Amino acid sequence: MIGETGSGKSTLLKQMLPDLTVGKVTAGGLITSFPRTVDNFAYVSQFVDNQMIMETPRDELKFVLDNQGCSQNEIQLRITEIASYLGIISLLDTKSEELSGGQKQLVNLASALILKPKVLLLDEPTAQLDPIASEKLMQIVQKVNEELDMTIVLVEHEINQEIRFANRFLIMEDGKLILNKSVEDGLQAIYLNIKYRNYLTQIDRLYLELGLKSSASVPLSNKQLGQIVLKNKSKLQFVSPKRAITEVNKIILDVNKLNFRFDFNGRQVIDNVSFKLRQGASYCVVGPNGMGKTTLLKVITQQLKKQSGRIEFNGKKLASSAYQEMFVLPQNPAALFMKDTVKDELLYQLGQNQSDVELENVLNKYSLAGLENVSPYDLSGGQQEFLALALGFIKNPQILFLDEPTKGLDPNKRIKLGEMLRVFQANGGTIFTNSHDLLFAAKYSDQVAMMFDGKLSEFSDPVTFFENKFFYTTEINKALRNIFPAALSWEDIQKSES
Amino acid sequence: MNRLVVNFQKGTNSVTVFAYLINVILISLLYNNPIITVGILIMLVIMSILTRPGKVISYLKFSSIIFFVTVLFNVLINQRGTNILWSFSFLKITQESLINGVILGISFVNLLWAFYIYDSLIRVKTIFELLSNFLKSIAVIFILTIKFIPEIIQIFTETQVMNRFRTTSFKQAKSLNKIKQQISLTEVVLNKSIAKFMNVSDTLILKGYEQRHKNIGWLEFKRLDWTLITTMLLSVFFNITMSVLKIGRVDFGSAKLNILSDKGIWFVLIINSCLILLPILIGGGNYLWWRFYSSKITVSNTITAKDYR
Repeated sequence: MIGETGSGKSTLLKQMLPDLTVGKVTAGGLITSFPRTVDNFAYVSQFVDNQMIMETPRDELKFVLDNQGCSQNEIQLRITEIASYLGIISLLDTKSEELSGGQKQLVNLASALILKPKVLLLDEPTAQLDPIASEKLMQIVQKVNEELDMTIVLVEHEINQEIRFANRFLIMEDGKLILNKSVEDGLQAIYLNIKYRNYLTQIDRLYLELGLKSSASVPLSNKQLGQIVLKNKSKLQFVSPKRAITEVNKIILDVNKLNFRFDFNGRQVIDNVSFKLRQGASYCVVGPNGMGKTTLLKVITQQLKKQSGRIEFNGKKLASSAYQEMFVLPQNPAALFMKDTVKDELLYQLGQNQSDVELENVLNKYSLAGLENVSPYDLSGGQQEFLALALGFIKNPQILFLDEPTKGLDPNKRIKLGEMLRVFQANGGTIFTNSHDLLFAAKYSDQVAMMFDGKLSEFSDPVTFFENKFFYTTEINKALRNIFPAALSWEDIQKSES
Repeated sequence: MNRLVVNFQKGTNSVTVFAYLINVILISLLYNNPIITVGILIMLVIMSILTRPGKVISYLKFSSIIFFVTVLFNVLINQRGTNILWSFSFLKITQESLINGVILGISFVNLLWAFYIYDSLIRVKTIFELLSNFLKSIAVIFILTIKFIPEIIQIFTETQVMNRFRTTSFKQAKSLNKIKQQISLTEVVLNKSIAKFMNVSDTLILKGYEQRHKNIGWLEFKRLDWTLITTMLLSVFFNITMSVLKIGRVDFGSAKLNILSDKGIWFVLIINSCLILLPILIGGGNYLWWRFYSSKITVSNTITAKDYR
């Protein structure tokens, strides 16, 4: 099930578990042959960190089974079964704070499955995971579906490769289910609907856009697309995306041999990192979870104190007052909010900047109209992200730091965000982004680098960066690397005019 | 954490560890003879270093402040004693009040270090189950407290830091404004924390806590667990008896201090030192057994060349 941010997907999902619902059912009801309890309907949310109560996965699983009154023997057997099935035996006694995001989500899945539910409800389970961890988690979900014949309802902001394993495809819009079809029919239908066309996977979008004759039907795998494109190679051409060339050569931020670690003998989270940011350019750092991207951002914005190295801002040593010229959009945008309503947040920011921009214009521009009197904490993840962005753009800083800005955004909002960033850049703003979203990095960044184990690779343009990557690259690049190695998104391949 | 302590933790269940911790707290509470309290302090610090070395330095600073404040207050409030060390107007500092202050200070510090060890070794599951035995809602409050106080501190720091990025000018606030800012910041932090608390409430529902059938989860008791729990019970009996017999206690607050250092005091100190260092002794015993006996009769599970012949 997909739908716009705030369309009511999660609310519908939670109806299966009455204890989780907020508000009242005004009409209708759910018809199910099972009692709507946690042992029949298991739920895994996107909040990776908040779902573990106990200190270790073993304690967590025991806690769930103790609550159900299971015997000692049953507890032992069920933990053994689920841990072997999901491949988490080695994690059972690891402390929760030592688990990665992907591992935590696997444990959350294990706690949901240990009760042998009839239905598994997944509410954006991969929203906070990096692409590799997301893929691994979804492979396991598919295994559960295929091997155990368990009904799975997966709610997502966008359609991923997992769509190939789904049987039905649903769209929620403004609290209504506007589409409920077989996957193939559903995908064909949304291609014809301009509002949802961007939700298609890059693979299916390219296939449908090119309109190539083939017996294959959507959803396609990378391999299938590769074969179809290869057959029709003569009719197709690579179109290099047009990018605004940054004329300004002024270095705005110069980071030299930066080092940081949390403990005396701990891992070097930032290991001798050096780079330069030019004014008016956009930079993106990609890489798996826990590799130091957020820490790097925090150190260069002085949220954490550097332990060694030099940072220069506008040619001078970074002063403690530099935050006046910077804006940080953190991973959790709610950290920025200070007021009770959306309107108060925006008015406060407009007042801070003595801006004469009308509140109404801001609300419309950032899709917040009608939400002015809502608490910022009650907004959906995507709406919070846009409110935080509005605050940043009102401030109009010299450098905009964005930590996972596409998290929680549907594909249309991502495009809107990309366009807003381009306008900011065109006006001389510099952008530094951390992201798992490889497609976003490829489309909207001038320079991309990868962070791993505290080391940052050299920044290079997206084509140079992604074309020699094997696993950590866009789906189009994976599918067509042997035919069009520089293609990163569906827009890069078009039919030849001849 | 020291490997001997890890061995102790791995070899025992959470109730045994809990019994050990309660015993340590009791030991640090019951005695006030300086010889015993100083001895206990040394043992507690040794255990703290071995269980969680990372935070020892900052805790040492904190406990030193508590010690000096306690001594200072005692010296100022307790004006009794015959051996005057220093006097000024109506204020006099006597040797007895100073010693009383030091004893009280060390006792406080001992309790703090006992809780430091408690915090390092206790498992959420144990407390949660013990509490849920009596009152479900108290157990939930406990979870919220233990799990989310660090998160609230994090939200506070994060909000304070992020707020700076919304401003466009560098202003040094005056004291009154600073207080006002802190109050409004606290309000913001509480608002944010409530959202987090709601998430935990949802998680507890999903884990089936609402329909909890059993009060105590299943625990396996091995021979070592029974031995240690029996030892702890004997220790509680021993320490309470010593306390009733006033062995290891000085007449606190009295003008005439009589500090004993007879065999009984040393006996109490040695017994209690062993009880505090129990994880090291058990872990050490297990290590020696493994080193000099088990490893000699156990075939290594390391793959050897013969597997490939």
